[in-house]
Amino acid sequence: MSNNNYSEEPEAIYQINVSDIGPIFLDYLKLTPSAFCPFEEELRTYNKGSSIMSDGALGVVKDDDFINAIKIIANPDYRLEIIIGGGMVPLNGIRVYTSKKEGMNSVVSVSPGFENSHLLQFFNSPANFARWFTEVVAGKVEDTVQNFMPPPLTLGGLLYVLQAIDAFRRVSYQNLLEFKTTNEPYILTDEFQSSMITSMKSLDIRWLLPSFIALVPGLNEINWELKDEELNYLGSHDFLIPAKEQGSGKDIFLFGEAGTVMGSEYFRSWISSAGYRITVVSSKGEQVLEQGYMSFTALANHLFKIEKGNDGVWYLNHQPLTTEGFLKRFDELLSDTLKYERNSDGVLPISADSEKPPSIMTTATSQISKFCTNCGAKLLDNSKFCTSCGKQTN
Amino acid sequence: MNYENITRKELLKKYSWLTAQRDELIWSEVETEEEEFPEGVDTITQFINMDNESTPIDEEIYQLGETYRNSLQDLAISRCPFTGQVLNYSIDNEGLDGLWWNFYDPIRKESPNMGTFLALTGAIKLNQPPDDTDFLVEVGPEIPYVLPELLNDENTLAVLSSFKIGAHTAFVVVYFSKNPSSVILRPDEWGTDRYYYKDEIGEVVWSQADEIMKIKDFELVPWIEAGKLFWVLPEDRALNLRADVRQCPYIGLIGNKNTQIIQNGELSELETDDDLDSEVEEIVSGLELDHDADLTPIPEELWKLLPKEGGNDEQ
Repeated sequence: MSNNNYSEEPEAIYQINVSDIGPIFLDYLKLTPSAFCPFEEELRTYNKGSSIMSDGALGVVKDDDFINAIKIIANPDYRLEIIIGGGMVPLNGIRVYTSKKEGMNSVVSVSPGFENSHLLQFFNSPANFARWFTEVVAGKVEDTVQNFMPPPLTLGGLLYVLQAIDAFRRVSYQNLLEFKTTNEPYILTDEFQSSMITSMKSLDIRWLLPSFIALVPGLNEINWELKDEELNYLGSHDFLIPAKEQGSGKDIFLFGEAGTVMGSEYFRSWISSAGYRITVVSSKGEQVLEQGYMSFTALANHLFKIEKGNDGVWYLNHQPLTTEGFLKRFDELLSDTLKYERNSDGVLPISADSEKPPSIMTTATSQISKFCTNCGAKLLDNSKFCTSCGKQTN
Repeated sequence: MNYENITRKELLKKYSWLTAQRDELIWSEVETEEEEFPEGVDTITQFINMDNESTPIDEEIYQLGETYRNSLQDLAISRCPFTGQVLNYSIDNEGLDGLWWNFYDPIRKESPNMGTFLALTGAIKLNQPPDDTDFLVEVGPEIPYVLPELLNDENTLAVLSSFKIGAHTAFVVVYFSKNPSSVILRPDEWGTDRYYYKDEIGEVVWSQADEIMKIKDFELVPWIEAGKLFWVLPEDRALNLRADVRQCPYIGLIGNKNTQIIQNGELSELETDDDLDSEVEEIVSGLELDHDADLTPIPEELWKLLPKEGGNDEQ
């Protein structure tokens, strides 16, 4: 733990076992969580007093930061969902909560922990979370790069651009496998179109196009359709150049400057991508404020904001950013959306089941490992030191 | 006075005649007054006092000026690379003889009300003999350029586009900023000797550009490659922003880099200060846009080990 005012580290980290959620929220702290709580399902199905806390939970349950974190996620009014994957990283997710009702400026992130547990990270401010996220996820970039996807870029136009970048990667991998070098890689026009449909359906996050579809939370709730004319963005912005294959005369696409530069960037240095969605609770109920996509390479941190235009068309605002620029924009994104009217009373509390007599401790609970009293990390059986912070165990 | 149906040509002719009449009147009055005042009295003070009195000629000039101002069209000339919003700018694109182009006393509408708009500068390739005006017109160089001092700001991006002004071709560079109020030094508005901005209390005030804002860089490629300068194809009504270098039609244009001046149908130019060139180099090198040295993967001494061009002739 640290007490820095502006730190890249969380103020505190806790690992909370699923079986401890009910006892902590309902039995010990006697909270009335709302349906917006990340543990809504666990709490809805928990019978009050039916289980007891593990030793690890008992070790942290009196910690002020821990209590504050639990209160925030019991009745949050703001949620940032981030799903990370693609490039060099497997699929992962993090949800970030704040609560006006619980006061403070603090932010709590919830992500999957080891085995059957959740990792809670407590940040003193949204700015601290933004700094931590940027440090952990964003590419280390000091210079700006060309924005080959300037506005206006429709959602469909972006999908074609992502397919063009994937097509360049595909051709590059094929050439690599065949020990073939060429200054003018190309793809058959028919293959470009047919592989796009296959790619979109695959949700294979190793490719950029399906990663966008798979990672942006709630994308399927947006009403949009791919139009043929949106393919024009590739020609007008020098991603692809129509041509004929020598000999066969088949229609092909050569890669233009934008296609080659961005294709190379993703072929050589794609780190990861992430989709995000910000939802707030107000007196009107839940409301989605922002949705977008981030993609990190060694050359740029690409930020795509999804916005609906006055013409009813969905657009993407793309900006390639340095690390510092990304931090600034991400910080602005949080602070701007936190200004919206919020009220955790806008969602109903979780309907409490009738109290039942405590049941006998389940086998699973009795086998819960101990947690470090210093950092909250799970301890290995019979370990003398915490593998996370190094503190000697009792 | 009703100028509803007056043509542009008639309006400009009448305006020119009336201003000449007024000037003549003022000067004759100054001469008369000078005779009445003993030596040592500041005649400039008298001139200003007289000028403040509104006469029927002044009123007519004002009405004509307003008619002209209202006739100016908003042209879609650029697009913000931050927001994608189209920039509509009120400009006289019918010819350089319009009062919009009067260097010392331009008649224009207010700057566009766009949150990210910062400044507009331009250059003009004259395609026919210069327009005949009795006022000074300063159109800038013949080929497009950027202002390094302005574009160096991390929050600033620029867009180069072109359109016709009469028979001439204009190249405009519009600067957009995520935070325009944070930019202190600005260039003069295109074709004038001043720029307007909003002060701390939101009032529109004017100032004149610092010398550093007159330093131009005609090498556009590094700025495009650095992601700082976008461009729009001529005649592209959709104003698609482009970032590629290969197809950019504005690169390699040849023309006069000095500021072109027109008055009474005669074209002349302001010579560029040689010292400014070295200052441009200093600013551009400060941006570290030239990565050639870093991009060379083979150290100099290894080049000597490579086979000479043409391969081995002995085989």
